[in-house]
Amino acid sequence: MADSATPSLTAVLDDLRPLIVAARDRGERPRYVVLPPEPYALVAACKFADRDKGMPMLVLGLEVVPTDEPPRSPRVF
Amino acid sequence: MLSRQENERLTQVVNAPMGHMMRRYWVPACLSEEVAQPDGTPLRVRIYGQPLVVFRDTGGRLGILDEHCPHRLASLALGRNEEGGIRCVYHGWKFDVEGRCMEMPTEPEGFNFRDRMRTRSYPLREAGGLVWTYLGPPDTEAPFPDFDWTRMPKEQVAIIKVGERVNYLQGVEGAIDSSHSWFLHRDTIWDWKKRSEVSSDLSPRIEAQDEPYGFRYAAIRKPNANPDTEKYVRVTQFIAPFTALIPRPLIMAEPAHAQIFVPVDDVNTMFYGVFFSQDGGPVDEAAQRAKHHVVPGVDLDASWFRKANAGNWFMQDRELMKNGSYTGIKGFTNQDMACQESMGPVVDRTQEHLGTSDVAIIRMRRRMLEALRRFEAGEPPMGQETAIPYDRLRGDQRVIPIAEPWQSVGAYGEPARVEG
Repeated sequence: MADSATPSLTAVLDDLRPLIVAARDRGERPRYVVLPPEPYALVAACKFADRDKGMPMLVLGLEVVPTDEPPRSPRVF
Repeated sequence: MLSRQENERLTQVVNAPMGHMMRRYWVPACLSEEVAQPDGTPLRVRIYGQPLVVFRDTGGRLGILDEHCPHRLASLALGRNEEGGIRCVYHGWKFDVEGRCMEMPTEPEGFNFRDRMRTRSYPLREAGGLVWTYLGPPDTEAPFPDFDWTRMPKEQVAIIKVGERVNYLQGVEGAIDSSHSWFLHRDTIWDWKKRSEVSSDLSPRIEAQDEPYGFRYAAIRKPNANPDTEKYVRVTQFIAPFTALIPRPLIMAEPAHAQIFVPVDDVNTMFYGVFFSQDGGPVDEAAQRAKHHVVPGVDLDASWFRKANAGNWFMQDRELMKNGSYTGIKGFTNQDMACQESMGPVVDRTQEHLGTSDVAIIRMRRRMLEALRRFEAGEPPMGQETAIPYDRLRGDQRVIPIAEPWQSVGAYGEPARVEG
């Protein structure tokens, strides 16, 4: 059983979705999401099977790109 | 997509934190019709893995007790329901609806063993054709969720009850996943034609808003008429811990619909689909069960589980598919459950690939995980911090002016309607 203090992957997704929708509303066609270290680690821990299949790591249809540079919140492009 | 730990916290209910939180809500235990007769057959029920027995005594009082006799733990569901109580057939110990021991014939009189013996009973209520119970601590009994349909005359409410061989969360996620309807149920939904008349927009904008009881979300489409000045909004409600209110059909003569997914254990769920009148007319229960192909004894076994299952590949009919059926599976409940059971009893959500249209699933998981975290920190379960007007919660759909917030649809209070 998980520790209740475990960071939430579902919160990462819930916060990311409006960024994607907003980008689409601006007429952009985002393909990548830049994730700071902590959310990136959460995603990577879950996505090993995708990598084994030769797929890029995808979150909500966007390819995940790690960064440790500011800003320390996700952004899409 | 969830981490393995999040998936476990959300799905495990038997002797698990989520189950402890769920016990703090009133839940359906069975249909009233299953225990309609005084001195009738006792009914075995399992909720959160806990074995229970429901019976109606000689005087018509309902009781729900721990299933096993406290003496040697034989099942009271084998018992004789007679003369104001249920008697264990093994040694004759007898209990009333409140769990008091009425008789203990194998023990000598005069030692007060009987007077001190109890089995555990639980609060219950009959409403909306269901027997509801509360399995949490007595000192934290939750407010009863008095949805409008729980107050309607029985002839205005019809219920389908169907056992599903999956974890409850797969059922809940199906209920709030509106995008699947356009595919899985495309030849089954009863107001499809009417909805298509209102809008043929297949790419709705999805928005969600947290509410004290859970959240509601809207699928917002361009209507066929006046697309520059109006929008077509369909709102679904998620009510913790496992109820969904589906948008009411545009045709007023069609019943509205609520879905409740009660965990039997970690890998089985009892689904209650409630159909209730929008216009005050009767809702024919037998007809609803036939329409959905979930007729007891025909489509369902004696335990309400579907005869269609993975062993017979959900009775999918390929010939039917060649002749116009999209799925080859009859009835929308069977279509949902075939897909959900095909995922496996507890789907590994680390392997899925959600899209931006899956907003409701993502939000529900987040809300429930956050509610669980707060509950473990000593806070009340979601929806119990304030009084919730359950009788005014609605799934709904309307065409509204484009500048009007979508939140006006399915808000507390009587909704206006598209002409039916």
